[in-house]
Amino acid sequence: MGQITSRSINIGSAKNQSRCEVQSDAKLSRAHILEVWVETGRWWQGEERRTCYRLLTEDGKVLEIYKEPSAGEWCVLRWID
Amino acid sequence: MSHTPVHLHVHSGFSFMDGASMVEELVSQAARYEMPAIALTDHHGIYGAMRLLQACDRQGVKPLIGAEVTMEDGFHLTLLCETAEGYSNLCRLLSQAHLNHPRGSPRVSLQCLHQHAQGMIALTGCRLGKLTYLLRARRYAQAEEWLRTLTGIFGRANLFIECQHTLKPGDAWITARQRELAQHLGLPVVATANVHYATAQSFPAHDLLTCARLGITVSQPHPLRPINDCNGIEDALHWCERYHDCAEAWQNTLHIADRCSSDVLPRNQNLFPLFPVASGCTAEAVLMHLVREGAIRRYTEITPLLRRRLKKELRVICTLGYADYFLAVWELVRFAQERGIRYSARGSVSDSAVAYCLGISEIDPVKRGLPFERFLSLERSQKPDIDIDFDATRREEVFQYVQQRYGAAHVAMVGTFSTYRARSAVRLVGKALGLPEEVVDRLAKRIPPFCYADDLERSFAKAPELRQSAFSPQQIELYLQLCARIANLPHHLGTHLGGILISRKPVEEAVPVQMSPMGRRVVQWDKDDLEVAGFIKLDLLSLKMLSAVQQAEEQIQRAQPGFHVRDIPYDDQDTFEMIRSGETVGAFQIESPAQRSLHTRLHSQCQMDIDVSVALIRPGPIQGDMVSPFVHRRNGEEPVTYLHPDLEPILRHTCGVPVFQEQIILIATRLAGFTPGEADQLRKTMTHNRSRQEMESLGKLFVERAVQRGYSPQLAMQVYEWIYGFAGYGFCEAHAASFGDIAYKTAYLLRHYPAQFYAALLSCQPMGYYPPNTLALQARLRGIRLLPPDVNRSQTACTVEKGAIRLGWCRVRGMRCDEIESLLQAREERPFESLADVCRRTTLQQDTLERMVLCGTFDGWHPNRRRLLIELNHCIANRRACGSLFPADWLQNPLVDTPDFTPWEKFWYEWEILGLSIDCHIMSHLRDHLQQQGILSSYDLKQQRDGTWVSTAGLVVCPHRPPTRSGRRVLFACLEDEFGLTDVVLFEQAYQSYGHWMLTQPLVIVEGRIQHRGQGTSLIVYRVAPYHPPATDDRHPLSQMHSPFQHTSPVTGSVTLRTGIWGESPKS
Repeated sequence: MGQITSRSINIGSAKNQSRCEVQSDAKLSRAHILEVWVETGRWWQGEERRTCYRLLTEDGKVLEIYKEPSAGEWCVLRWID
Repeated sequence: MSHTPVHLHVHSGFSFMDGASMVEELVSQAARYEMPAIALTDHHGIYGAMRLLQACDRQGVKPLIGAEVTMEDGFHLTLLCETAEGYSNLCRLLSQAHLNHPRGSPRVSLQCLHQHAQGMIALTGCRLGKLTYLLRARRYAQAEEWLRTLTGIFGRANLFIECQHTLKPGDAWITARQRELAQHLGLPVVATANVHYATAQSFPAHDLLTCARLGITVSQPHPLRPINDCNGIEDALHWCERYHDCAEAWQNTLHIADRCSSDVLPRNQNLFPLFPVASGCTAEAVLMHLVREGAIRRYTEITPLLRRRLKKELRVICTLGYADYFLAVWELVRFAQERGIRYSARGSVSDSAVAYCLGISEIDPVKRGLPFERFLSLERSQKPDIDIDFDATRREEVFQYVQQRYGAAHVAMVGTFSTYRARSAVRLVGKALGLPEEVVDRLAKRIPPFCYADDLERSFAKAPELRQSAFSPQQIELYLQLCARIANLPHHLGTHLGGILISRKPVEEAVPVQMSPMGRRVVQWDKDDLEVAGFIKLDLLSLKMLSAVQQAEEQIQRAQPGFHVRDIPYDDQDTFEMIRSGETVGAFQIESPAQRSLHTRLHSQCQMDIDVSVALIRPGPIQGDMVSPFVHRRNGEEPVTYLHPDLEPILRHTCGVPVFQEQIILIATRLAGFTPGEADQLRKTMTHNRSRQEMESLGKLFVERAVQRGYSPQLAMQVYEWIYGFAGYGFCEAHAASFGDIAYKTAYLLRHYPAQFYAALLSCQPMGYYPPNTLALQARLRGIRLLPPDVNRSQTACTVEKGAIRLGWCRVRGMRCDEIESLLQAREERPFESLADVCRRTTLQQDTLERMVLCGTFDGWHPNRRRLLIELNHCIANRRACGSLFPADWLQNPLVDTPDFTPWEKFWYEWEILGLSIDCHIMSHLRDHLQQQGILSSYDLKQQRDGTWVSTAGLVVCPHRPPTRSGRRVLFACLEDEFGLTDVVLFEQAYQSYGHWMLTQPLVIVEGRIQHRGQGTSLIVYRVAPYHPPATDDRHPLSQMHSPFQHTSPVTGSVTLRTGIWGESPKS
């Protein structure tokens, strides 16, 4: 998958939602939300807290993403595989 | 039933470095979210239980008592008290966890849990609980087995599987597995949030505390360091979201809260032991009998006034049920009297004629017109609080007596909570942030010792030495904010100085007990918590001045066997003349510069003048500008007036100025007809609770009642506002009288037996206001010689030898108690004859012997100390050789002529080892150089006219920065030279420019104006510079002197952090 842009991710905000859509390179796919957690980050350096998601894509890839609080962009924390 | 879930797993600041919010803050947050209840489950303790009770009472929230314990296998378990029996069991469980395991590592055994499970509800614990661990390890069978074990201990109805979803990785998976297991075993689940702070804003503070506790910096990850701020008290919406598919989890929080009683803690019970009396007799009857006997002993005549007073006091004591308490204290002081242990009551107990008749106090309150209600009244909700000072060297005997008398299980020390002050906060935050240690250390040392962490910002702004730190303004701002956040959080349970509680039932049944570092049992509550519970504490304090008085008396009795301190007359004019001259260095309470200055202005003539000075020289009266009006009136410079003639009998002895709290009580009684108990409540409210509404309401009541008694409304309001202005600064007269009594007696000893008194003071160091060197100087100025320790003459304590003070072994730095004992024992057989003899017959270590040589101990045998050091090496070698393969005479005697140390070197070694100079002051070595520069001595200053501009120099002694009325910074200190002390003061501007020199340099030159007040002389300083010794040689001893705050010994390399205090007690 390529770069994930802010228009490419839709994470359900209503409760019970465990799926999301991921768009990259004009391709839309769904992903299963495996886990959600919050990280406070380097608060002593002014970093903001962020909510992180671990996703399982339709093609079996696992990645962790979070939304940059100030810029509003989605960023990839890491690809697991 | 409320639908707002309840937090059942909550840590406050009383989890010591694992909780970042105080109990009150947590309860407020719960109340804000309309939670019907909140639990407190601190680590291994119920330290905050009483505060929870009180905070919940105020906020209308139900308090639930519990604790989180660590089992012997290291896993956590959460326990909640369902019933009073459960509470007692929890107390026993926690006590055993602390007492049966190493201090700091309390553990609960399964067996203990079995024995004390009744009445408790167990939750399976947080991520550090055994269940969570087993599930994460996929050891499902063992997880099931563990749950069956817990079910066997607590019963199915009292065990809940604890689910914690705080948005950390893995939480959802663990919760799912827990629910599966719960369903499989038919056990209920309950949701908790493992709260460690009230709101997310406190997370940084918690993170810092966690890093400090784990010994890491914020840049380092750690499995025990939470990665998010979701362990706060969140609202119901968050809970319902996380447990949307398991409503049972949060609903069970309400079920548990409903089941647990809020009334499990002891409250307002009388837990003091009953005094053993004969069959058919009562404690009250015994008390009355003893008081009657005591009254006959104390008073020449039992007047109707005295009889009425005693009857009234006894009625109050017996009505309130405190007869047993008074009898216990009477028994305790009787023990002290029989053993010859010197003691003195302090505080408001001296307002009691019953205490006087029982021999508890030595102040006659009837003669002084002191109201009993300042100590105890029917209206006052507080329990009696009797504080007794004992000879510091014998207080332990008193403790042992109490333990033996009542049984160890019924006695414990009162706890106290140490909180983060500025210095400790700066160190903790700096270290956790990963800042360089030397930078943090430098900054911390510049902070005033008594600065609070949340007061740092103000201190930084006003203190020049703090502004000279290495940080940028932004760094400082973050730093200060973080320090303020952890301010006032407790970081460990300490032991109250002398507070002891004696309980009718074993202490562990009412409050958990743990071991203090000194090996004493201490309860997990402080004195305020204990009072709410119903315990009465007794303060058994130690006062080194009593030890000094005892030693002085013994020394005096060698020449005058019939002398007793108790027989000192109270009207000795020579003593008052000395007090008026300000020459009272060493006397209890009246030796500080402020005290000495006051007495020179006051022309003190009687005991009351001393008592008033004890009350006046405190921050409150000084800030409130009470001192000058009193002095002017006392000296006839201002007329003594009273707002009304009825106030004269109350205020006459303080020249119309209210000084004592008892006077407030008497004024309210006389003018407004308050009962004495009501008047004391008024005084307390004025002193502690000054909300505008309450003050107005009190004022209205006061005026109404005064008008009813025939006083005009204008007068009544005027008097009320007047006493309101003074109430905040008032001092307990009974306490002032107790301390004033000791102050006078020590002044008498100083005047008439200075050698014995200074010898005693030097033996009891560290104590008092001044360092040992200043006391030594004062002795020399009185014509008393000091003699170095002598191997055949010195005792442990300093003694008097033909009018001179022979320094004792207690003054030799680093000399251990067993070494002293060895020396004295060997000497008892026969005197020592040589250095070799000493080495052979004692266990003195080489370093101790070297120090003894260097401070002149063996000068009587040979004055050349360097030669003695060489000989010592030979003697030590001989000692080691004895019993070896090599015969002793194989070692050649190296005695050769060698030049001795210079007088300057000898002086320096004496200073280092004894903490004082024996026969001359350091300034005498520098006088020639100073005179060449036109720098005057303290003697010369006294000859100068008032207002003259002068320069002087000296050792900086006792610099301090007390709070002032204007709020500006002022620094007071003494400069010491060979002629005595000069009191100096730096006002704001001078302090900002030069204050750091006074606080960091041992020797300074100052410029300023002379001020003569009464018989005293002081200097208002405008400029300060450090004094540099004339020699540039690094070996010059002055180049090795550091700040009086920090002294590095060239002999041992150890660093002493004392402000001008150089002495140490013998090491044991």
